[in-house]
Amino acid sequence: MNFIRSLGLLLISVIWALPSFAIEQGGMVRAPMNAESIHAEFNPFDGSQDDLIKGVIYEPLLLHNSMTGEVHYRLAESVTYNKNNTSLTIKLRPNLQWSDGQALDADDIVFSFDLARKVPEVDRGGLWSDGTFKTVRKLDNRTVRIDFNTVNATVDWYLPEYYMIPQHVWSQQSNVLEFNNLPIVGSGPFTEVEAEETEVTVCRNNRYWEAGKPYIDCVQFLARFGNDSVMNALVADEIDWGAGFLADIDKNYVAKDPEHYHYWYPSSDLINLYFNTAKKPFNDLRFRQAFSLAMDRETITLLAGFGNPTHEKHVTGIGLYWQAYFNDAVNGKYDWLAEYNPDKAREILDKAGYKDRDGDGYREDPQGKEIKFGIRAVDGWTDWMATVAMVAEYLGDVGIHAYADIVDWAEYDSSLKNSTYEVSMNWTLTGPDPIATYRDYYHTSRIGQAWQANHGINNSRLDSLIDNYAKTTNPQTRKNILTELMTFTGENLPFVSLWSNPTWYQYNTKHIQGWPTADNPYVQPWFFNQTAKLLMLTTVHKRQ
Amino acid sequence: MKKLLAISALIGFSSLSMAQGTMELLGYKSNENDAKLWGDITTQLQGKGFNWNTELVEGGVIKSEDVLKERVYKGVPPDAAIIKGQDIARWATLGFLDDISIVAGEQAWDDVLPAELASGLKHNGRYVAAAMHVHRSNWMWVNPTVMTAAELENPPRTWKSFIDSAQKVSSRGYAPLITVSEPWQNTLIFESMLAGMHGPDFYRRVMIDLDRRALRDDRVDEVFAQLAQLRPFLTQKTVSTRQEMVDEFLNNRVAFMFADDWVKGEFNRQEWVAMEDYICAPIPESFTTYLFDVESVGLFGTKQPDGTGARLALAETVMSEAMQADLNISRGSIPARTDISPWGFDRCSVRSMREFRSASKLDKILPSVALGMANTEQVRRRIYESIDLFVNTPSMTPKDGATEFSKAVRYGAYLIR
Repeated sequence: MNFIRSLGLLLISVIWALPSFAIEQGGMVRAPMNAESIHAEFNPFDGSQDDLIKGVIYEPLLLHNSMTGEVHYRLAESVTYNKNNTSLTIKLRPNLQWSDGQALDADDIVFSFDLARKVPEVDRGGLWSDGTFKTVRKLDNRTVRIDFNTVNATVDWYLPEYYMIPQHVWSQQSNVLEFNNLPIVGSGPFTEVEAEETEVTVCRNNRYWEAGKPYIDCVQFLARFGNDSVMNALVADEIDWGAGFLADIDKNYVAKDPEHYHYWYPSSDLINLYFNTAKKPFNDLRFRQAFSLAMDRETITLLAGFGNPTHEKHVTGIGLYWQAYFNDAVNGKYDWLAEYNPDKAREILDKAGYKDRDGDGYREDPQGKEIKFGIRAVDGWTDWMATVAMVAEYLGDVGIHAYADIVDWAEYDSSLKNSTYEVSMNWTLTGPDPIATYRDYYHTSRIGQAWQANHGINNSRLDSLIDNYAKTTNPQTRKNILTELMTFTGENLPFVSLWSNPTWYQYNTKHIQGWPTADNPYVQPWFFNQTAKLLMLTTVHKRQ
Repeated sequence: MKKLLAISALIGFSSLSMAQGTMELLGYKSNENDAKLWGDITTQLQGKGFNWNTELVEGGVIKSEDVLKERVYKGVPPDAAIIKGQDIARWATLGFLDDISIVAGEQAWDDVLPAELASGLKHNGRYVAAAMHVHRSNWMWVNPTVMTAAELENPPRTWKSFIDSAQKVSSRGYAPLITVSEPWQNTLIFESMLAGMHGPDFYRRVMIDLDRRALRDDRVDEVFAQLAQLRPFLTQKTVSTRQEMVDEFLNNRVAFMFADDWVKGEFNRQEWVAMEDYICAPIPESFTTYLFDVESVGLFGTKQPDGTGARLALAETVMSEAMQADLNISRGSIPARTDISPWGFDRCSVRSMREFRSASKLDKILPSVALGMANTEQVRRRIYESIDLFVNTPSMTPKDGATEFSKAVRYGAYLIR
């Protein structure tokens, strides 16, 4: 027995002493951009090509990992609040460099935040526009202190949204929103760019702060317009990382090469239909309620989403991603609005005076005016296109004249932010806490900034609820605030929820390994999220 | 697993023993597409070692029912036949149909078929037929070229707007509606009107339960009154074959057709694209209602009792995931199985799938009399005749129509007894 135990210990010692497996550098990850072409234009503030900039070219101060609950410090070595949560001190890692060899120090951080103060489009985390930030100042070459106007214990949640940019480059620009940002000087893992019309390749930053990383040499972004085009590229082994809806994925993708073609769909954000309540008839709660009741969400999800999303049974603003925060009492009060009940929808519309006065099968508003509106989705997003067409048909069943309004991304983006839509399908922000979702729904500082805040139902009470959430760390106070926001949502329906999205994530192991999987869930693999992009692109490696 | 082994053994054994025998399936042919579909099935079965020949009767299911009966009376039944509705239970009661529950168990039919459909395929709790297609009868097919010519923007949703649209189409020199002089045509319109105007419960009482009080209800008169308003259009352009009907539509000579989704087989053959070259919409006022018909295969074990393996293989093939998709994509109907993905189906089929699921939740899936899913053949024939008589006799008042209809139903039911 003693001998066996000794042998065991010896073996453990030998294994422990073995050198860790060295991952060989090299290789390239190929990913799609859902666009017809890619421009040699890398301005991080105009939002048009965020997906190849954020988490690639620029490194944030820190990252929050919602899958593991970890905080990953990146440029910052630490981020600490003062005792009263009225200021925050950022300590940078030592010896940071920009990709051109210049030092990355506290001056760059102060410059970046100061630019956000001056230019609203740069204020990506919204902490200047909502009045949280008071001053940002350098304490020493590696230390920056941000003072707040109010108590706020959640500032760090929004810090990753801010781009830290080199002062020596950007201070020369008279119009920071129009600068094409070439040649690129960045701090992320990939900064060396080669651009063509339909592909952009971004390769290793030799001055990246994390030794030995990234393992892969380059990331290649390929312009592939529409879900079907992406699917073809995945099947043809032109893409390693897919991030869109794939119809009938087992048959159309996995079955083509089961050894290498995989997907993992952990839950993600909620998908809603947002009303523009500044316009008739969406200003009428009864109309919005009837709209919600007319839809058979389960069938829409099965047929338009091929069963990959989960149809929503609640209308209070958060979905499965935040199910730990569900409030059964609040949901129970409003769940009837998520049921498929066209008879009830007709009854509500009849009572509210929406009647078919001319006998054409479509209702007019109580003043006798025609109702006809578009439900907006983006061209090429096939699951969304099918969804809005189905929703229009369901509305037709109760006598509401709606149609699928398919537009390109630029029009979609601007119509949501400028409130020029009628009804639009859109996602929700997940963030590090459900309050981030409600903040983008309701806070007046997010109007025109977030896609979800422009439905027209905002007020000072909602602002103060959201602000107060940030001021406290008391769990019960926070719970009470969320309860009030959920109740407000169910009561007022500025939007109606359709389904909880999965994280659309397909990966190919033929050339690249180290992907997050259900067995190794080191990050939510959401291509459009900076956390996923950075952690994945600095973890995956070529097949060894 | 045990079941899997059992059925594999059974099919395997019979495959060897029946290698030289040829089995026969009796079906019908609405168009050339049907022959191709059956060709695909028999080819697959041949690959499994079973020889199946098909005899496809021209002219639809009513004709093939006649041939089936005649052959059974003469003592030469086929080994399998397309049967539907209440005929499944009748043939099973008479002891002609094989119990195919072993295949149903292996393919988990109880899990993948809607309860309304599954119960129609069973006799005494055992499966005796395999479902192939679900057809919808309350479809209106709209020709967008003619609509544009008539400056019409949307397919009509009410009977009032249908008549307004039809008059506008007429004024531009087009035929608003084309009909075919087949027995189901006018009943298909009548049943959609009845279900749309007065709801699923009243439909069931009138068309399925043949409830005398419901048959005398004023609401039946109202449906005939509505039908009377359509008379000018129903008789304006009537052709004698389905092919002629579809050809007129394909040649952009008419605006509307009322027919179940067999027409899509023709559209598909012409490579017409759903919602572009043609539009599908529920028949006016029948939104959220799904009048359906399931085509199924019954296996007649009396002719070749030792051909069980070949017959089970046919049932298994018809209900396989691949065949449920392929058969229905080309035919224009939807799969009976609800676990078939919509991949490859056109927008009208996806709409049909969607409405089938939603109508099921609202208890608005109703068996179509026009397509032979409800009532015995005798009752159906009487219904078809009485509605045709009303449509073609302008002197008949709605009250006359309702009275004749009620009589016809009673007479048909009496004949059975």
